[in-house]
Amino acid sequence: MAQETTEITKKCPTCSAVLVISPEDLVITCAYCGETIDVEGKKIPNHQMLPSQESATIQANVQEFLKKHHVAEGVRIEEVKAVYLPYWVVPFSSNTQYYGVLNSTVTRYRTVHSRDAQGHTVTRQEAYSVPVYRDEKGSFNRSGRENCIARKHTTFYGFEKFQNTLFLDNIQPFDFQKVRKYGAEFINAEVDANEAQRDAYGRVEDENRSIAASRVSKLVRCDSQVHLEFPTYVHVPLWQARYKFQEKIYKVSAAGDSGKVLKGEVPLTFARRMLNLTIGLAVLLIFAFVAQLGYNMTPVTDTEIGGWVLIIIGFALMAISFMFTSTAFKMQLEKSEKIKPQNPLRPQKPEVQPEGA
Amino acid sequence: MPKITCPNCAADLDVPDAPIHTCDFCGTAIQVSTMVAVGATPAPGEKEQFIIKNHFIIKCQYDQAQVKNLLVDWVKKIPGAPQDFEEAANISQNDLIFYPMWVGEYAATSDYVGIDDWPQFSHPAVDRPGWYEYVSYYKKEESGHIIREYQKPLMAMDTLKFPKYLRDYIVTTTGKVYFDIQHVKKLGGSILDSIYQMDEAKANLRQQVLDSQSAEMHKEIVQITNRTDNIQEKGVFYIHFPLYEIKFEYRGKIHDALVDGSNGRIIHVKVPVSLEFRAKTITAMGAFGSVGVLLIILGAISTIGQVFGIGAGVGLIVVALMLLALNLRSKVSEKQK
Repeated sequence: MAQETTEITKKCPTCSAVLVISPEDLVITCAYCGETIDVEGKKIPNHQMLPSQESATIQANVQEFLKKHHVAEGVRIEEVKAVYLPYWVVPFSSNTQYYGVLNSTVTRYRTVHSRDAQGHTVTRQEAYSVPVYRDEKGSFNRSGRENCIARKHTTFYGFEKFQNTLFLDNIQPFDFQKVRKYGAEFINAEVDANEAQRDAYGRVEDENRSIAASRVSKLVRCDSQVHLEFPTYVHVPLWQARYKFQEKIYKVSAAGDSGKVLKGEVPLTFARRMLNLTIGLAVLLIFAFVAQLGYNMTPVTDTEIGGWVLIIIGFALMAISFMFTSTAFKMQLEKSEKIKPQNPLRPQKPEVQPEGA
Repeated sequence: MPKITCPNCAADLDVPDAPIHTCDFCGTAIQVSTMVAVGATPAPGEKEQFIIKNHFIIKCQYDQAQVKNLLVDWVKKIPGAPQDFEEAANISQNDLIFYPMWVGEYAATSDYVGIDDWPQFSHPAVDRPGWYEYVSYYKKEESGHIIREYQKPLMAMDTLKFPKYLRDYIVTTTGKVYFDIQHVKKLGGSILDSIYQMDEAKANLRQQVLDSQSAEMHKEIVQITNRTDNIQEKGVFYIHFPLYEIKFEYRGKIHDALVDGSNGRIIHVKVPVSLEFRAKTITAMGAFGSVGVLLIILGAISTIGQVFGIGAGVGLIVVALMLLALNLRSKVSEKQK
């Protein structure tokens, strides 16, 4: 309420330091001793963190990323900063029962009578497809962990990629000195363990439904029993960098633990635009010519199939040529490093126990 | 214009005819409509019911000069934007406005009964045992239980006055602090207040939660026949977030921009396009279009081959249309994720 309470403080139960907190903070970490407590002062057990690469490594990786994308000369990195984001890692196990309909086709043959050029009756077998259906019941077990960001309405550049490639196997006990060492902004959680569990519950259920749906043509019913364990509180580093190139500002984000660039804006110079336009036009004209060659081959029986193949290839590559052409007209490129998702959403080895049709 | 006394600092206020007003002196969010209904001056002991306690602000991290620099740096990247933009553009308006929104946090559990389409099979396929040639669906009753956690936002502005570029914009509420009028005054900002009373906002947010629960139910059933919802309201917050509304004049034309003051993101900018760029793109467009049409004509009369002529000609016309789109593009937004 107004000016009376613009600053909220809390006393650390371990070192008695007075901590200034935000009204949204539900889990607070002492900036002096690293103790982590909830708003009622109760200690949060097993607070973990992911170590980060040094700022110099991040800068080198950003430079490497830009070099790979042909932007090396004239780049000036203006700012590199880390933010330590809070996560709840929720271990879960689940059992899913599903029921649905499978679609397939069977090939059948029918006898067709027709007349040839001489007026004789010709009989031949013609293949045709018939759709067939059956029900499918199944179940599978899936266990693992859900990484739930302990913030609400959080958006950072590259955040989606960060979430999808987050790997928390290298976690180690939390040490505030390390956060300080990286000069990182430190963010407390505004989601408590119970909320994280509810969030994880919904996500596990949704993912199980998605897996079940992938196993049938039409999912009719899907029920998951989800068991959640108490989550681990983990702080994870995300780096954000800004660089200047030809007096224009661009952004890059990098994962703190691996130091790898997650996503970055790549400038399009005039020369690069022209190169893309030229390649696009060249591909368009060359493959229009290839399609013409194919078209010329189709009237001859021996080369008819080859002709159709060339026509299809020609038109497909003419369509692809527009990828190059449209790149020439973009404001800038958005590039991501290939990082193998190490916390796949799909189960590693789901147990499937079909229960018959 | 109703006259009320601020229930927190006792200042006399002439307030707009709106349900909520943020006190110009102490920053307290006052439920004006509730206050006016019972008398403009609250009796001792009644003050609390007219005050929105969970009133927050997302602090603005940029002043007007910094926002101008951000905008200039960003506009320079846009193809066709004039390179003399920094010197030639004249900013005529650069207003910091704190927009209102409500955010509600809920834990929801629902039990439901409904009707679903259940398959029944007929005409066994003789050539594939266990499979059938026909499937039809009959109505079957099903029930279930849904547990979900929600955080729902509600922009508290009249849709006609609300910038349309904000409709799909995710306001980052990270870093919110209790509302501080001094922060607004220091940056020369102004405050807009909610068009909804707190009860209306709560009803709207609750309905959003019920709709989300319904969507979850509809994943399993096609029709809900009975439901019991337990929607636990964990908190409803009234939040002001900072936006810079900028107008600038470039070569006699007025353009506008909207910048998020909390993170410097360019939500929208109407971009001036240089005459030189327009001339170049129109020339290129004409060249590609003409060659394209020529190739189509030559293809049609089989001088250069039908497929080559028509295929390449259509391709060049597509390139010409891309140039036209680039020429006509006037609005750009910064990606949020």
